[in-house]
Amino acid sequence: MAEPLLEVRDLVTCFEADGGEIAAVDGVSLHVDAGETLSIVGESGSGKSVTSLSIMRLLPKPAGYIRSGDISFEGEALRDKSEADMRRVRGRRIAMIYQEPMTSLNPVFTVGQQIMEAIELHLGLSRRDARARAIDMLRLVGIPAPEDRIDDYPHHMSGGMRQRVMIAMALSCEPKLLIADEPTTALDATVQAQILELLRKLKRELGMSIMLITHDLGVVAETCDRVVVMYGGKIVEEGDVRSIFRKPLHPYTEGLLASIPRIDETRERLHVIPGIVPNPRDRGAGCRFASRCAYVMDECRARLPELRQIATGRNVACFLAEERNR
Amino acid sequence: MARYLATRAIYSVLVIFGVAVLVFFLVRLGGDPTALFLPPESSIEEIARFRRQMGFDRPLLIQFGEFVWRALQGDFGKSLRYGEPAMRLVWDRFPATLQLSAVSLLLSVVIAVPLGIAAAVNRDSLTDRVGLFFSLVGQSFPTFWLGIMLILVFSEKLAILPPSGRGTWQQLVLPAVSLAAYSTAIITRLLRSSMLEVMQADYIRTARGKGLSERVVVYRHAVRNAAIPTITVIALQVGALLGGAVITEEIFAYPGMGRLAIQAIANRDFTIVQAFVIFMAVLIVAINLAVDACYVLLDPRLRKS
Amino acid sequence: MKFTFDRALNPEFKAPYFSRISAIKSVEIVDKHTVNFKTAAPFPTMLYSLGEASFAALIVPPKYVAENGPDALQKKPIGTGPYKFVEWVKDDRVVMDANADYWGGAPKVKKITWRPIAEVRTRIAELKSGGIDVAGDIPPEDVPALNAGSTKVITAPSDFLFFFVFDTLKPGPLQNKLVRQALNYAVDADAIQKSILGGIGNRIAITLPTNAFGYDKAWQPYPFDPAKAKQLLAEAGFPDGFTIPLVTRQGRYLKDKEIVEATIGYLAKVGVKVEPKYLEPGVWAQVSEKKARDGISYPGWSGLDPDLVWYPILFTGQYQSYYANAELDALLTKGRQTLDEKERLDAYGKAAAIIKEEAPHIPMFQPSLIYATGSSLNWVPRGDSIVDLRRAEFR
Repeated sequence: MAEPLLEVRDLVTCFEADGGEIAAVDGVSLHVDAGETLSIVGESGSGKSVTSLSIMRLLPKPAGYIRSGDISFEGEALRDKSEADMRRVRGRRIAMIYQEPMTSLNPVFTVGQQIMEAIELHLGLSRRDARARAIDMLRLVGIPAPEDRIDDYPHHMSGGMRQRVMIAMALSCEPKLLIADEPTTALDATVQAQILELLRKLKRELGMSIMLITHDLGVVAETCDRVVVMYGGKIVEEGDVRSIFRKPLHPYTEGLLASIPRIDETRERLHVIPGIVPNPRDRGAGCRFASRCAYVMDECRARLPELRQIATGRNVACFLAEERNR
Repeated sequence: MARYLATRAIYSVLVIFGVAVLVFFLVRLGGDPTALFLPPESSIEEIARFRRQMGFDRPLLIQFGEFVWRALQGDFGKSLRYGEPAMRLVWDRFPATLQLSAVSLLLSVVIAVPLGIAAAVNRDSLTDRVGLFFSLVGQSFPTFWLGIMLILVFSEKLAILPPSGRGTWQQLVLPAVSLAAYSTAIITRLLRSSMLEVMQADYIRTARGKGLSERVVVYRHAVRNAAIPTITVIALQVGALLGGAVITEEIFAYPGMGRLAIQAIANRDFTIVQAFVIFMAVLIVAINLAVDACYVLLDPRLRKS
Repeated sequence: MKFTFDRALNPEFKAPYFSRISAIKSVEIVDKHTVNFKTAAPFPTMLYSLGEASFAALIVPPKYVAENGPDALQKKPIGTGPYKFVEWVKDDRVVMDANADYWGGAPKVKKITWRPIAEVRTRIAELKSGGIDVAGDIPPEDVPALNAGSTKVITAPSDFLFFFVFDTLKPGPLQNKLVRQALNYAVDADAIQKSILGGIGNRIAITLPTNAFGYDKAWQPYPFDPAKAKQLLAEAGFPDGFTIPLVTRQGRYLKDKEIVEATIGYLAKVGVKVEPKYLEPGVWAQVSEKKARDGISYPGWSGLDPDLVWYPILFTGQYQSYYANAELDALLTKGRQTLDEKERLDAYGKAAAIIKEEAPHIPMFQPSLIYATGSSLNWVPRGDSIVDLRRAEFR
């Protein structure tokens, strides 16, 4: 098998808070292959967004920092890069789109200015060519009359339109990897489906990889090849999308699957899993999901289950994994 | 937009009229100026005669009507003390006050803008701490006290700057610094907090995610947004500076409008006080209108497509 | 001369200080250097009223006014003084050059710049840094520091008087002579002078400047004797004291608030509770016109002749007078109707005895004018607040 596009090994990312140190990402290893869509799933606080920010090296400074681990992208170690080199990766080779299209665009610049900024920076195009490319990109993401809309300000656009603009901006320099952090969470269901469809289509056309970060397994089913489920800063389950949907091995994954809303009902957050993600400070020695787990055993509270291979490409961190796989 | 401006213009006229009403009656609350213009041993008859000559014995409402009617024609009456048209006396001193306020504002902005940005960008750094300390100091020290301290240090002890008067640039330094202190502090603090807020914004993360350098992120994406609330404060500072100039001019014996006004108040020179206050009101209303126009330039959300 | 007075005496001219010369009926030219003033009644204090400090009628040149119009004098004044007007930058400075042809001899200081510097710290700083040579209105507490190094302090007794007035016209404890005497005994004016005025100025025995006509250096103020005060209050029927209002202004006179507060403190010790009211100057004037300075007031007055002081503030029925005494009235009338100095001295001596005994005031101080100058300036200031630099010179 070829070398993966992105490989993260034993990533530990910490935050300094009130004099203490909290490991928001606590020993995560994952990889994204070329042309693949990997989904990272988890509730807020699971460490999924921090993982993506660690890859981009955009952690809020000085509170957040990578304690240990390796991040390798196209064979280059991102952690060793200078800030200037890192800027040549961001937007050019790895691009990101975000959860809040309403606030992710700068309100005082036109959408065209914001798209062209990246094009001029990374591709070295003239203003004119950059503008032409920006219009092409807007057309590509399905914005009607892009020649006119390019001079609109973000506040002239709906949320779905803005997210399309964000995607156009992210893809304008043809990145190898697109990190989409909850790209559809803030949008209503119809628009959500349109955006996901657009991402699928563009991935096919542009041949890039996508790392889709979401708390919604419903989104995962339609879009992804592989899934990584995170909980409490650790990966609890990993596998291809079909086997995970068919047979979730970790009780947490099971809970997430049970909470997928049907298309005809109003969305609600994960109400099926009782309890909340425990405060990272209160993490005990045992399994971090123990307090909310329906299958909890004494052992779960005493010892942290290691992530281990259960089947080919299937890793689970639960003492019951083998039993449940039977 | 035109309609908005028209509404604002009507409000402005109302504000100025309200100010005129207030100043006219307030200035008369402290008694009429007769006692200050006649020697203490004047007889009651002489006092009455003077009052009659000056028209102070008529009902206030009639005096007010006459005042408004004349003011509409641009006549704010003659100064009791100088015998010259009051508005002209105010206007004559306006350049001095304008110079002092403008230099102070410039000083404030030149210091506060880089300091506010640097403090926000390097939050909790030494720059930030020092900036915060000075803005706290600048905000809490009364202009009066600061002025006296500057005089004590730079004129009396070090003897490097003259403490009073107007004419040379050296004479402008101390009053401008003491007047600028408060505004600098306010603008620094506000710009710092707007910058901090803006730097947390999603679009800043977007800009960084694009691979833009921190310099472009801060100066292009953040400052423009942080400028919007800051401009209001800077504009408010223009009013504060003109007002603060009153005290500053008094301390530094600087011959501007403020000094004229303070003397006029002490002398119960009604016409000058009225002319001064109305002049200031018009000025501040005009500045506020200009600020509104500025907003539209800075914030596209306010523009109608 | 005649032109000046005709101009000032014309009611149409609205001379602000008209009252000071209104007794003059006409001025007649006798010869080139002599004029004859006709007055409606004997006017013994006329020379005070014509002095420079009274501002009533400063000499103006008829030709200049005729050629340049009446407003010209205001913008570019011409007179007969020791200095010639050069320029006036409003609120900033007035510049004058010495008049070499001055009738009293050319002044030694060749150029004077007058600058209004209202803030005292700024004034002192200008003096210390050499920006100015003379600074007026120096607070007493700055005197020791300015009397050193390159600066010095010069004082002159002013024409001014600090004193408290009792309203004896309205019913109340102050109508009782014993009470008024008691309050005089109760206040340690010497201590106040020492602590608040830095010992500067003259203690006055009676409300009259010590350098005024008729002031007898042998006059003694009431001594500080709180026990005596209490005894007199008890005698007057107020063994437990009483409560009385006081009206004053703030910042009008040197250390007025401090002096008033200290006095209130002394009165409190003998059981008299004083409730002070600080009035705006215009309000003070209105209260005065209505003769409504109830209780105790702190008015301030000036004048170098008993007629200029006692007549307006003690004569029955004068609107600023809060006292009525026919015997005193007769003496004051006598004093103002004769030009004979002996008769006047006699009348005012008797009047002073009545005033002392009747105690319509608490006489406090004749403050000094305090100037600070560069140590090389040789200059004797005048008591009427006019800065007269005719004889001044730099050593």
